[in-house]
Amino acid sequence: MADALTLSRPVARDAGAVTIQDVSKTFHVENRTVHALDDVSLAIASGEFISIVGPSGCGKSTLLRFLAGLDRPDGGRITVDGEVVDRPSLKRGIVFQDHRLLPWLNVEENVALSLRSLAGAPSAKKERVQSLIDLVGLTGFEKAFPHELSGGMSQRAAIARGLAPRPPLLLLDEPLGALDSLTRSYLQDELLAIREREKSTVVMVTHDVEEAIYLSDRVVVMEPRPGRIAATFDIISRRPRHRDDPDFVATRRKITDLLAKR
Amino acid sequence: MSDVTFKAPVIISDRRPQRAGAGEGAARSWARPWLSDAATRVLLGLVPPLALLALWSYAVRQEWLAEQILPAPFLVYETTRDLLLTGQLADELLVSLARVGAGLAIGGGLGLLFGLAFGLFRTLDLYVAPTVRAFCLVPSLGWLPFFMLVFGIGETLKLVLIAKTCFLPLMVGAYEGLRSRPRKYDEVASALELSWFSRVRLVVWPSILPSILTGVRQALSRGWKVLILVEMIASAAGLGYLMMWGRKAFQLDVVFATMIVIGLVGWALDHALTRFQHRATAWSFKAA
Repeated sequence: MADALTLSRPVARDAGAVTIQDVSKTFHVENRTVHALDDVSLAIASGEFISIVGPSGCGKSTLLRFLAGLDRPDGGRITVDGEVVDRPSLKRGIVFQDHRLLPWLNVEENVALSLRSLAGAPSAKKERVQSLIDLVGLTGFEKAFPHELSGGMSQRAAIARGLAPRPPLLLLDEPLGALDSLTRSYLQDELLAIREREKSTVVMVTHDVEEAIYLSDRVVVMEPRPGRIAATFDIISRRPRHRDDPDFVATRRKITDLLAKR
Repeated sequence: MSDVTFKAPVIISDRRPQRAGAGEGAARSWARPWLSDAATRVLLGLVPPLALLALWSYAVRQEWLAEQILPAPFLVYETTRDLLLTGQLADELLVSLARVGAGLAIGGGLGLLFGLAFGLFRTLDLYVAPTVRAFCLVPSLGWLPFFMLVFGIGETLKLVLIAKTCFLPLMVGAYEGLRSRPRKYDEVASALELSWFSRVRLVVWPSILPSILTGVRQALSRGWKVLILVEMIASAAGLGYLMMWGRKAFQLDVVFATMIVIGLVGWALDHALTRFQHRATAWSFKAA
């Protein structure tokens, strides 16, 4: 429920724990049955940063949509902090690959939209919106409309919108996928710092193995037809990580080999 | 990298948004240095009417047509001035504007309601919409004989006919707006747990507004034309009546004066609405 969240309360230390249990989904395309997800199980600890990588068709985006509550699985169940996910909630912030800012609202209004259904004084909400805009580095662009922003700036605004209600769980669906590599690496560092501050659990879907290793505590590799978890990799090295560290390179090699084999 | 600060100017300074100002600057570069953009545009827009006026004067001087048929521009100017000074032109114009306003409000309002209903309810769209559309596709003048018998030739007839004309553009505008609106924002609305009311007001309505405003513009320009027609056929006031009176009295200068006023007012109405549309739904013209 939206009213379970408040503006000021910091996320509880143990919030945002996810359990995915035997989740399945089949699609029917032209008389063929496609197993998008086949008995996928995964437990995500509170505060963990998880990346899901895999070739297209492995069901990683489907899984994220289930976590968000935008779609429902055929079988199995997903719980967040013991609560079954059966519909979208402000407790699970989502950032889409296409930023999906409403084109008729400016940056400020777009971010404020996510606080509309929350209890709280308008002045407190205004303050929260401004702090989020500052946090993602869009100070001075509060009144700018999405069509006036670059792709990177739009995605920053979308991240601010996702973070504004302080969701214990933040879901990122290839949030940096459409950006150029320079903007991308800026925003990767920003994501890390933002998470440091907001202390939420993060589940990110990406097709970029390097990005996954650079950011995550754990990388989940999925395989297609049927969509399953092929392996998970714990990334234990300290941040900031460097893409030419020996263990970084070794992990990347393992994951790309695994992906190439499938 | 917890020590990263986000206000670092280096991050945003190289990614300035392409604000509207950049486009204006580019447009200014080709314009004459001693004229502003707006002045250039106005001057260029005045060239065709001035050329037409010159051609008209030349035709009169060369007596291509009898002067009873093609009056001299100066005579038309004098007639227009007289009509203005006596207040007759303003009176007739007000009558016409009031009629088109009322017709647009009634017909357009109903069209909007029907369009929204057809866009929202599939059953209505399947069973009722074809009939309504077929009714609308019979031209307004086709309805005139029947309407005259039912409503007489009074004010009701004009209102009904204008309303009927304004109905279709708004119905189609609202309907198409709903059918073609981007659905991806619905997911944002549900992810943000927006209430039904907020969803309609902040997500659905703005997305169909451009299409509705285009409908309003079409309704107004069609309504304006049909108004003049119906005033010519059955009326004792209004611009169309004035024109008819001029024809019957064989005063073509009055006819020409009325034609010019009708054209200018029609253009001004459409121009004002276009400006309003660009202001109210600026995003839809600029967004990719």
